[in-house]
Amino acid sequence: MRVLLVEDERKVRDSIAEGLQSEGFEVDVADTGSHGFARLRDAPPDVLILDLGLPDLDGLDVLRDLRASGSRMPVLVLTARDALEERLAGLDGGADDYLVKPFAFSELLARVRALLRRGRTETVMQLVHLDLELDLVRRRACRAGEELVLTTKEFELLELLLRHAGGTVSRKAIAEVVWRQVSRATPLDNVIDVHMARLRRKVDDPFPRRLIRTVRGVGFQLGDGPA
Amino acid sequence: MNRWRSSVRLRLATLYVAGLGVVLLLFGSCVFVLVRARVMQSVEVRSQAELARLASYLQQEGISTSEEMEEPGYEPYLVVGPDGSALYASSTWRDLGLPQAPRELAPAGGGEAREPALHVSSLSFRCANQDVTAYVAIDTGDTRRSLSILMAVLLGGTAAALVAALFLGYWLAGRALAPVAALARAAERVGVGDVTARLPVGVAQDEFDRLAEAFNAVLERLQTAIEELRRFSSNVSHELRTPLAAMRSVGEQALRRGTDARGEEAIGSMLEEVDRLTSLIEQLLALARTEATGAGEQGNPVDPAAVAREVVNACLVLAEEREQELVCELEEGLVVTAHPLLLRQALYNLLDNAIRCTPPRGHVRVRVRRLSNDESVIEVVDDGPGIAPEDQQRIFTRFERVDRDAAASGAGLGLAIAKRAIEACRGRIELASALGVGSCFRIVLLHGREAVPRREEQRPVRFSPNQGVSHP
Repeated sequence: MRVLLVEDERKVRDSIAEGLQSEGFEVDVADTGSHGFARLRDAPPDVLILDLGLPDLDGLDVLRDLRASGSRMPVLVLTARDALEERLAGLDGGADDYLVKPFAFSELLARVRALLRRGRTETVMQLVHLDLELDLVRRRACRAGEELVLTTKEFELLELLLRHAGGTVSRKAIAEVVWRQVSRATPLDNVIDVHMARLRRKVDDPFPRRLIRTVRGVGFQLGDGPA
Repeated sequence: MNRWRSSVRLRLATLYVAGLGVVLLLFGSCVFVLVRARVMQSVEVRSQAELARLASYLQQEGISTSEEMEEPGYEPYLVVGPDGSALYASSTWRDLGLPQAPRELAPAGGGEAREPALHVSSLSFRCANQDVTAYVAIDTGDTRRSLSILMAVLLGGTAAALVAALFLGYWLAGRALAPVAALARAAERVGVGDVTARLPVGVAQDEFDRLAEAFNAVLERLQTAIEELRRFSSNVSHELRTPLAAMRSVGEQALRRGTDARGEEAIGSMLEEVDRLTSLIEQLLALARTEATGAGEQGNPVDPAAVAREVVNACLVLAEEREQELVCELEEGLVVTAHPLLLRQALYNLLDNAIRCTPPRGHVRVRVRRLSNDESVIEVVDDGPGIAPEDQQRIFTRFERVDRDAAASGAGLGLAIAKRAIEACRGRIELASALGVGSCFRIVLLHGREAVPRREEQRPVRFSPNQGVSHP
């Protein structure tokens, strides 16, 4: 899968490119809008990651031109401005998704994968990770055949971790998905930590292998859990 | 009473009428007193002339006590001798039934007799070698009736003038105050966030035009300032987030590449600080946005009990972790005007603050109730250490905390944000607190106009409302 990353900040660009490459993507980069245009024309990627604050062109113009040319390429927009109007402008301009800086790499990865999956309808009824099973229809969770009694929030939390098994889920992503938080001005970190601690007591404490791992400064990860 | 206080127009008209009333009454009294004095004086002059005529007649003819004494066509009269006994009373005097003893009459020299419609005057003179006093009674009925009519006209005229003046004054005051009313309407629009409102400026260049111009100039500057602030916070947000994004991204990739435990520790700790900084910036921007634009949109009708339930459900775990009792008392069916997001954020901040400030096993109570016909209140009551009176204002300013333990209580923006958010909803936050007793934060909001709350955009809370909570 080929990704074109248009981002003028060298450090952000290089580190994202490195991360995506390590995840098996083929990454093409551009540091200006016009350069991005050229790369889009010469070697159309499967997905475009586009920063809106470019030095020469407004990212939105790049986006509009791309859509005007009839392309339906999935586009993930990055922005350091979060005024609601700008988000809306981004989506109206043809973006499929957006991320506000600073973001966790895991989130970027999850969204890029989601964009690439788009169109392929897959209704997941069940999520499985090692001996942990989640029945999304009956909303039941089992580990090693034993049913876990979870609250709604705990179930949603576990579901989110399972959907990104192996990757890291940031607190911000949890706040947005599980708590449907719109504004980041209200820190839900304490709430999330308490729920996570409870989830661990139910999912991990009774079993020899601990699956939920805290990645310091990044978030939480559902891993293989060393014995 | 309310109307009285609220209407300068009515007050002006009333003051005008009161002033005019005092002037008209003074004028009327003076006119009446003068006219009356003048009329009575002319009556006295007539009496004296009559008495003089009578005296010369009596001095010529002598006083006879006989009944046959000629009635010389005078007004009713009485002649009294030096010993005070009546020498002669004219038949007309007797017909009127007037007393014949002078001491029963008014003091000599004239004055009102007991009979109100008569004016009695006297004159002493010598006649046939004795000192006699003659009294003449003049009928003043007509005069008095004329005076009564004058008084009635004066009073009636005054009353009519006052009624006319009330209407005229009310109308005039209304006309004069119309520009002020327009000013007030424009100011109200600005109050709800429409800084693009402008006052119409007339061509007369009178006081009101100058006021309108000054007001418009202030609005112009306000609008510029708000737009600048908007741009500024957008720029700040961009300038601060970009390096944070770089730090975050570089750090994460370093972690992914894998380092030793010490490196992981260092990078993790750095990323935590990036998170803290990010959250701080978000809060500051939220504050700036609320101040600049929060009031820009009109609030929506919101059910305060629903918002309270949602926020309490989110915070329940925090209270449980501290083994606190979190109790709700929610009055249902109320509708207040607020921005749902801002209200939720403010209440979340207050409740989060209450839970953090209350010691383990303490009590926190969230109460929603009607305050009056116009207002409802959401209260957050705790039995924590309380806030000293000198700190109660300070804690609503940014970066102010009661305890200086930064780690335990965040950046000190929560209450400042809550206050601005509620003010943007055109409500207010009140604080009642006593050291050692606890604190009560109150969000007071105006009632919504619609009777039935519109369901605000929110997904249903899929959170068991009484999960582990101890209800009273």
